[in-house]
Amino acid sequence: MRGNAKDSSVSSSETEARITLEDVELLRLIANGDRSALEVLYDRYAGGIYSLAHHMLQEQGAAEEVTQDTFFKVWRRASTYNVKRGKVSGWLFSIGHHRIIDELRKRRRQKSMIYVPDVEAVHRQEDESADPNEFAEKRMQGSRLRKALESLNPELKSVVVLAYYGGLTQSEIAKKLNQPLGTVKTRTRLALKALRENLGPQARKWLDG
Amino acid sequence: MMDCSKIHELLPAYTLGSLTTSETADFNTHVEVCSPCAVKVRDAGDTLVDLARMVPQKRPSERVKDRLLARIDKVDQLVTRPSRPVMDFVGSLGRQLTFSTGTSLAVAFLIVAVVIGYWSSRSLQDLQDLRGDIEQRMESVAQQEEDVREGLEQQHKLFETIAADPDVTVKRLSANIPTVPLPGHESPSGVIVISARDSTVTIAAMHLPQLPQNWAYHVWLIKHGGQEIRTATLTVDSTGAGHAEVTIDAPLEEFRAIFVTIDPANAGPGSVGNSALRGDL
Ligand SMILES: [Zn+2]
Repeated sequence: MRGNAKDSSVSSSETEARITLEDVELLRLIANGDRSALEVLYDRYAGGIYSLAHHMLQEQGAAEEVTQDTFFKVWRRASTYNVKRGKVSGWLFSIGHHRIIDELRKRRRQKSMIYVPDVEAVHRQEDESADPNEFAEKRMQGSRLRKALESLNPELKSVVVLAYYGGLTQSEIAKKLNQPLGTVKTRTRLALKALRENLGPQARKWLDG
Repeated sequence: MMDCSKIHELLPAYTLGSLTTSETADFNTHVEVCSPCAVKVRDAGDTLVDLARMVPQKRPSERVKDRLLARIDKVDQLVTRPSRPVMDFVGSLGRQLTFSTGTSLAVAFLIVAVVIGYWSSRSLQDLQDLRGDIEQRMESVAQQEEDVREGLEQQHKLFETIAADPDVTVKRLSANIPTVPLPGHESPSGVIVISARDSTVTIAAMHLPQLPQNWAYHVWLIKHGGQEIRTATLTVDSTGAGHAEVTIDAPLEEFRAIFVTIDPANAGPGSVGNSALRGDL
């Protein structure tokens, strides 16, 4: 017990010393097994990952689990991070986003397994709770995201919402929107282009101001 | 293995998280080793962080961090960095046994722990790779099945043409002398079905080797005077079956032979590549 008390006091002063470090330096320390560095990175980004998970999964418990998994992965994979692959924040959100999507897809599979005997029920179920488009719409009332997405043309917007917030694959989106796969691919490309051109600077302005 | 152009094609869907799990794995495999693609992924990914951050913000409960740290401790003790309790255990063994036995036991313990950790993370990765492999193979089997079905339909049509037209002529199409089949491969051959009524020449061939990208099989009609006219491209499916249909606007008697050549897909109509098949009319 004495050892533990000593450990935690050392750890909190170590944590203080790391608060000013850049993400990249933190990640380098994490790769060497530095727990305090992970704590600092966690304090910086856990809110963002948790919010995204909560928004997409609509469940506190699942969002907590995904957040924990994301940072656990960061701990295990810190040595594979490559500066060439972008900012630490981009890498971290990409890990988190993929983990959330895995969870969404798992849920969708489980749901369809439960409702398989009644095909109609599968559709009803999807329409009521699992339609990410409608569902995301509801959640976005008045939010900055809503404003930002509104700047996109509706066809592109639905692709972004279904893909990014709904975790649907390209062919699932094609099915959902009743459009050929090629059209969905084209819209995805155009949507990303529009996001890069419009949403990026706009979003930064909102976030900064 | 995906190439750079495939990465370019899939990049938007990847960035939005809209690829299937196995596509994502293949995508990552390429980007790990290709710097130009990694740069593109980075630029696209940075925009998306804004998208992630624009949802209503919430704070996770403190217990999430506690659980995370507890999980890290547990795993560290088990696998990667055996910490005090493990070393204490090893140490107590060492005190009971002789020093060297204790040390070798500790080393053996560490090796076993590390191997188990490595093996379990490897085998998960292997399983994921295997799954990707199987999905890819299933796709190619599905493609071949489709090709076989289409091939059968084309044969059917050919038989119908032969049966319905009293003036139909069927000629042999055989491998040209310079074409040496690869070991284990049968040499290409086929038939030419000439329908005077419809003024069409249908070419059906088999055992045609797959050509590299940007190369194609071209069908040539040779006139009696030696004039060579490039007509159609012979499409070859995954089973090695080739098919082409040519409509002719001059009397059939004017033509002496048919050649199928292999040349660059974008070669001008004047250039004649290696002749793979020939048939006399
Ligand atoms: Zn590349």
